[in-house]
Amino acid sequence: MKDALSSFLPLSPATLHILLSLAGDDLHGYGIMQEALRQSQGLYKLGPGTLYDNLQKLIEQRFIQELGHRADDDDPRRRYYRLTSRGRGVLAAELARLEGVVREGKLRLQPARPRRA
Amino acid sequence: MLRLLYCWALRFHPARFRERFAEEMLSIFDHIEGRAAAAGLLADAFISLLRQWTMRSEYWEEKAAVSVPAGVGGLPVFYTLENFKPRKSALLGGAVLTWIACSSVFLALGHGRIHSVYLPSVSFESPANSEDQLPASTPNLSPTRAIVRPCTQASPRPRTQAIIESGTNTPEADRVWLGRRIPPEANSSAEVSEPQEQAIECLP
Repeated sequence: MKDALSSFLPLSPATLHILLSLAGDDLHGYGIMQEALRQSQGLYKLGPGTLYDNLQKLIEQRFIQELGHRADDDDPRRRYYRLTSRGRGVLAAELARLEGVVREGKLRLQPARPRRA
Repeated sequence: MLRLLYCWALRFHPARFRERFAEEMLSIFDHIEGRAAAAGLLADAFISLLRQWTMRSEYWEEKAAVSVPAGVGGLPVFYTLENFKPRKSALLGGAVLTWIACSSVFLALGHGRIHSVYLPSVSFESPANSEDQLPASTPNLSPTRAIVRPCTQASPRPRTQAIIESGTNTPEADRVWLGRRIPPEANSSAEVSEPQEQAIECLP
């Protein structure tokens, strides 16, 4: 299972932000865009074209599940999306990979210790 | 106006993408405030349009593949034996090559000319001084000046050029026309000034 998911790594920034947005709650497209903007502190703006292109791909890969409309939503055109357990697994694998990258980066960027003569 | 353009951009997306996501994309466009943000979404829609048609061919015809019409004896009416789909890189390369070939042809058509060597080159100008003016009795005819420049190179088509420049439509008329104006001993540039009316009279 884990080996199968590792073939999808590394995830693109758009895919990572979409999966991360849906990890907390079920959201519609506009909600995902807002959440991605918040997560990146305004640095990553996800356009609808990129968003729905990635959603289409993620639904095909069964990382995301489409829930349809919600009765309590004020806009009936909105559809909600949910992260599947498979999607959660690939997100966890990507975060583990990124942790390794961060750890390695911190080691490399440490100030060099003076050598004893 | 921007909304109309946005709807137009969505309409040209592949059918499967459009049926699934166009309503939601329009919903996002309606929630966005500000003209700059709307223009940004419009640009995003055009990029998405390009992306869907160039890089997402695997999602185009899934619905069509599901329904295969049955013909006589249970055999399908139309059946594709080969499921070959060209690679994306091959499609991209083909598009680039097509663009280069078309550009070359259009460039050649735009800049292509027949560079012929003219033996006599005759052009008409309005006279600079008042000596060449026509009498007041001929108000509708403007005087012209013929400038004859002999060419130093041999031309394969001197007569044809002379016909074109003098405005006559027969080689004989042109020969008469030129014979009245070009001195036979002229080897360098010579200028012959005559009113246009006289030139017309020389023609048969």
